[in-house]
Amino acid sequence: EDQWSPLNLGGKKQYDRTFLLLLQSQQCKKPQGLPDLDIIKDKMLQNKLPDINL
Amino acid sequence: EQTAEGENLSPEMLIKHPLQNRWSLWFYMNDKSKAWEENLLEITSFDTVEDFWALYNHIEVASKLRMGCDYALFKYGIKPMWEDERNKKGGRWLINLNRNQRSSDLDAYWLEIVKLAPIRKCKAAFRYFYRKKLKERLNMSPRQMIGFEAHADTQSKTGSSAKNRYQV
Repeated sequence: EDQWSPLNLGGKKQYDRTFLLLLQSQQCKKPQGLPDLDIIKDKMLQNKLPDINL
Repeated sequence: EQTAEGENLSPEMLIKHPLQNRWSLWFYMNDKSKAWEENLLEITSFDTVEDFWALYNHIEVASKLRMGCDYALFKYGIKPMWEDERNKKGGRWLINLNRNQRSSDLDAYWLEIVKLAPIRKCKAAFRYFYRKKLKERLNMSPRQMIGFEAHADTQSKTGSSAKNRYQV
């Protein structure tokens, strides 16, 4: 499979759904430098996607 | 060079996964005392999967935005307005949701649409493919319509809404 990885830097930058959702659950640190707005939260929101059968 | 801590992690987890392009998330604030353009704020930009999720995990979901507020996701360097040179020949897809769907489906739709962004090129040949993919991805019923409005039509509209050039 020709997907990008640290060991395959020339691979395609396409990732499957399961892998993307796995990465979502790991991003609990708030990005720096965001503007001060009421829509921006300090704590991670757990916005889980409903399962869609593909 | 790996740190002692990093040795147990696979290389996949040490380096962020790049996207094909850099994207910007914009927020429209709908403050009536300000001009339209002043209400438009570029929140941040990202070019890796990890940075996208870190952002997504820390912003309000689309269904809970106040009335008149919007998110927009555009390629970095392109403003979310039709005046931008790179949007002039474009258009917009419109999906109308009923009240019930606002709480049940809107957030999932927004996220699925965002994830399809890399193929949102509205060249004629792409349109058929895109709307088909979109309906499939959103699990939409065949009866639910997605319309496409060209910016050129919307700008020169006389009535309340521009004519849909395409509908699926």
